[in-house]
Amino acid sequence: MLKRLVIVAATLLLTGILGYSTVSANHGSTLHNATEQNSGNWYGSRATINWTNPNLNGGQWVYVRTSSNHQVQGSCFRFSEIGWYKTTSGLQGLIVWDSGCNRRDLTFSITAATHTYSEQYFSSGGVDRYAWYVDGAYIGDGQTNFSYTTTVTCGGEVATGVESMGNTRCGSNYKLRKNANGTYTFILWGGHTNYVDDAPYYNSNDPSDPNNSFYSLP
Amino acid sequence: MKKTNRSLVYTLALAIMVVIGVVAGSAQARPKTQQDIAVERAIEFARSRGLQQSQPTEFIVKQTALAEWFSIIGFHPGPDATKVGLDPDKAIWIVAMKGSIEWSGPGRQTGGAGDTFDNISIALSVDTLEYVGSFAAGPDEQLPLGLQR
Repeated sequence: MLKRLVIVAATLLLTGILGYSTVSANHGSTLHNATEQNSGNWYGSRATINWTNPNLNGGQWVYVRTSSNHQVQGSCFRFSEIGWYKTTSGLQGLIVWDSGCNRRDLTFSITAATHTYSEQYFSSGGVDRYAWYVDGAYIGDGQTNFSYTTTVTCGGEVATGVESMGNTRCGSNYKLRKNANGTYTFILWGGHTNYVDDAPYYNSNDPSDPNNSFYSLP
Repeated sequence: MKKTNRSLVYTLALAIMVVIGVVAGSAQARPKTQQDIAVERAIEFARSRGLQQSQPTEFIVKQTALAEWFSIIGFHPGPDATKVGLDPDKAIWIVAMKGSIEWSGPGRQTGGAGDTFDNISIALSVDTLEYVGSFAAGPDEQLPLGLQR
């Protein structure tokens, strides 16, 4: 009897001193994405993304965004993303970028409505940067250490695999072309291929605009 | 005699542990400061971004303005930044932490390297403790707030 009491007391004592965490870590590398891409050397991306208020189903977050990526397999990726971000606290806009083996993200305010998100390359003082816009408003820019992409993408990411992507539409996807005279022009994607489909998430063409628009489901 | 000695030892050990537990409990019973709450919240966000430990191995906390966070992450606000809530004068907490990070926030990558870090910093609104942003520094970058590797 006394032995049992000692064990119980020791357990309570350790719990009291060391504490415990009610938050579990996400143990990292599993993706839950549904994104389409347009491969090539572009200098930015743009998409009109609707707000669908998806159900988090007890999960953590959903992020639907347009992305410019410079990827070399086996090396640190460089990328820039902007879109809407729903968490248990509500809706925010979110920018995520990586200039090679580092990671930054920054939230901003948006209304619960369809918005056009875009990003584009520029150089400042010899440093490669991307600038971010919502509905044409210039939010700011960050160092990305890449100019041209290997691919541009659009679509959804979720945290744990229980959240819904809300059948969100990446509409009117554009890529930024560098012209011969050094200027830049946004042009329509003109077709897309699968980038990531992590079941049960997948992408589906928009029949009204199959070359430039698609849905991230479910 | 032996049985009596054993009982006494057990009783004494139990009594000592109860006393230690009460003292430890008393030490933790002081009211939490705003800073304490901000640090707890930042650790929650860090864990949702991939911090593997329940607590960082080391951290530094500072109350400051959003402008300092912009400087840390190299963000240059555009002319419309304040229209989307990115006011450089906004009061924030920054909690810079050391620990093992396997990135699990938005922006996870497939097929490449670069989702593993030894640090993460979280910025929170002072008014609402709402998430503002995060930063995981690369191996060639300085950690924020003077935190040393």
